[in-house]
Amino acid sequence: MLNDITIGQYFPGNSVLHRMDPRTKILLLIGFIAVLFLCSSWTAYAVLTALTVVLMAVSRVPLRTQVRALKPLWWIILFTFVLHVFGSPGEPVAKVWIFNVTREGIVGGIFVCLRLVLLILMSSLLTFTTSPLRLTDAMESLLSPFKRIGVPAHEIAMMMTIALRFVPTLIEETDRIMKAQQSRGADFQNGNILKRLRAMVPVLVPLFLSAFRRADDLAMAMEARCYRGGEGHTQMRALRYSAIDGVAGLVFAVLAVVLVGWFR
Amino acid sequence: MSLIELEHVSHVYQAGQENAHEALKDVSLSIEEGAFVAVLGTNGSGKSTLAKHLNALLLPTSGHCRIAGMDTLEEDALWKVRQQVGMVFQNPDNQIIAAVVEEDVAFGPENLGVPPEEIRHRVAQALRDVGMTHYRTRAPHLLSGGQKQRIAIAGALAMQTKCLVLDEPTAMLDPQGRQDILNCVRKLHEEQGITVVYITHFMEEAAAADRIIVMDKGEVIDDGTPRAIFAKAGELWKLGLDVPVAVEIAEKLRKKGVKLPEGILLGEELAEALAASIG
Amino acid sequence: MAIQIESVSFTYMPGTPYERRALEDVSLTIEEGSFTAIAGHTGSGKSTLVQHLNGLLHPASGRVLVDGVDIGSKVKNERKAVKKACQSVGMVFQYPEQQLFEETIAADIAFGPKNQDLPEAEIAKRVEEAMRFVHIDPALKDRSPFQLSGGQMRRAAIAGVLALRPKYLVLDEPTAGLDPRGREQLIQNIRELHDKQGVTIIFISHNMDDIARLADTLIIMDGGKKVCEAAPREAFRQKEILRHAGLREPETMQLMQLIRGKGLDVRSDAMTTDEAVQSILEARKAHPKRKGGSAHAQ
Repeated sequence: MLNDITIGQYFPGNSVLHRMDPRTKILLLIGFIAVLFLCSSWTAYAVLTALTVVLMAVSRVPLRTQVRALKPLWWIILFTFVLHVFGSPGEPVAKVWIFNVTREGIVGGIFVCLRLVLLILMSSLLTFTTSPLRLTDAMESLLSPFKRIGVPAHEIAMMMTIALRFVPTLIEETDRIMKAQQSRGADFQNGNILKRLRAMVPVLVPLFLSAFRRADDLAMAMEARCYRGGEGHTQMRALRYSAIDGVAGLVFAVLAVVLVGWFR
Repeated sequence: MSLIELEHVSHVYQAGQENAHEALKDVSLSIEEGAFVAVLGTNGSGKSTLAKHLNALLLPTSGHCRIAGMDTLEEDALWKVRQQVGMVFQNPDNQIIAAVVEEDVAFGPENLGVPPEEIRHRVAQALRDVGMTHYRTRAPHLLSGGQKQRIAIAGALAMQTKCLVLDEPTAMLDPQGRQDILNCVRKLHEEQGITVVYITHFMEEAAAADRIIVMDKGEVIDDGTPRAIFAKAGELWKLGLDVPVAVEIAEKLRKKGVKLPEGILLGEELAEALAASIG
Repeated sequence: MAIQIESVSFTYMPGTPYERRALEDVSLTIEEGSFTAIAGHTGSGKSTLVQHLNGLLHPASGRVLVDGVDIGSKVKNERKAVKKACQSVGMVFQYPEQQLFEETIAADIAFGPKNQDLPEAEIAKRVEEAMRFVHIDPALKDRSPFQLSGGQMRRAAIAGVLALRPKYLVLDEPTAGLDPRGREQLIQNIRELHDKQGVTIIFISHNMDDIARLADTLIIMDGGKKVCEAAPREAFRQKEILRHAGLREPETMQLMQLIRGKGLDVRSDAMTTDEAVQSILEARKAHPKRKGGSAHAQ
């Protein structure tokens, strides 16, 4: 069950999206999100949805995997929808118990959900097509202008890399510890919330201890390989903007202007 | 001049506190460039502490540790020392930093500020040396333990390290993985003349070295060729260590009154000796 | 009474790009009182297989019977019997010391019995007994488990499973990462558990020498399939199967084959060093060309 989480995983490949500079991808994602929140017309959403679908196809990441990224957030999406459907004032179209379902509510709900879905799909597209280390390099590069005001760009970036690298390892470990405690009669499924939270203690304590041990080992291994922060550091594949980035940026800029300007 | 020189090195954990623990006691030894040294000892004998002194992850509480003439206590020498002595640790999961194999191998040279072109060249070479070129773009968590350890070795090679220090690299591997690592290390030693310091609990692996250092309670208590060390099977057993099977059988046969030459180490030698004793 | 595994298949993450067939049509019976070893390389399916024995995983097809109870049964009034059957199988995972979590050794060992709602006095009794059994002085019971040495920590974790008094005990590579002394102590514990307490042992190991001296049956897994089930001595003769599964016969056997190659008629299937010594001595005595008495130091 824990293995179902696909967020933050990288799928090596050689698609246009893979080859794009990660900084471009991050900036375009931010731009995309901005447009997403600025627009609320059917046309704009049709275009944005089409764009997402095209990019998903171009990435060559298995479709099923991409869709699975929605899975852990499915309930939030549904909840938001329900909240909108019942919670918006306007022209009533149906009545459930004491709640009115309004036309505005349904439309609003669809928009909000679409917004969330597109946002998740696009964000996961970024992590699917960008190796965490490259993502980190990009973050560092984008944040570097803020170093002057004391933002630890390199450290933030490194933290992200490590977090992403250890997600699968920790998932595996959680699974193993849960099974071990289950074999000793621990029960994670039954009882009220308080009881279930208490049942997690035998899992969380070993998990944290192990995470600390891993952190210790990893720090040692990094030091052994001459890690000393961002100073005097080079990159195997230095980030370099290429024609793809230019084209992508330009296309998106036109799209954004048209959508926000005329089809809001 | 030896590549590694330890002079009266002691190391105390939590020095000055109530739970202070002296993990190394007055250890002096030198390791020549191009040597293949195995270190034996039970858990808590100080072998890991020793290993961590060899690339300045730990510094001596007293005494001096010199790597290629550089004292690890000199702060300026730190990066040079770590570049020359690469480490491979026990847990394959806890030493891979990047989420793609080749990026992990590049981590060391990147930290050293090697130009990108040169890094790519070194990474390709290092992966070829450990036979992992095919896995270049894979995610490390999907590899087997033995493969992960070979990536870790490649990570050290990419720093153009002169010496590999391996701290129980095979403890968590299956027999195939264990064999692969030993073969890989041997090949690097023979073909590229890399100095190897190999800590292990597996006596068959130790027998592959040309020198064995035995540690107990923070002290070096014996130092010699595998043949000489394993000739004292009784003492090793007393320390809670093991001996290779051929040595054990030879020892038991001697106790039963069979005359066998001293210094039998390999199965082949025992077979020869038995055949010879019959005539 | 026995554990019966009937044509069990299992797939991880079915219907995803990560789909992986882990077990394919595996059938076997583990008799009560036996000592079964399971070997195979990483990813051969051995860990997946044993997780079926107490219901941690449920087969995609096939079934698992523990003392005649189908532990995959969904029938309501069998639920109690299923729970009991699953409880009779104790499970020691790899690196079990990593599951320790309580402040004291005693509290950690008591975790399992407490979950079974046993009376306090019974729990205390079981904790002491389990500690004695793994040779940890019961006087240490109020110490933190994290202050123990590596080998002791592992034995304390195993005690936490033993306190449940399992009838069947599964151990997944219990000696991995221990030094020779720690390994030997643990092996002795496991042997006693089987010989003196009559616990049925299911033991995953990479160490063929350990398997040779402990197990009465060896099961070899390869690519999710059971490729061999035989007495260890018998199994080690199947060289092709061993090699394909990434395994080798015990060091001692390899050595005996070398000696045979040199013309001494020793048993090529001696598995332990004592057997080997015995066989070499006999072969020497029987050897026609032996120079009279010269081999004896008198």
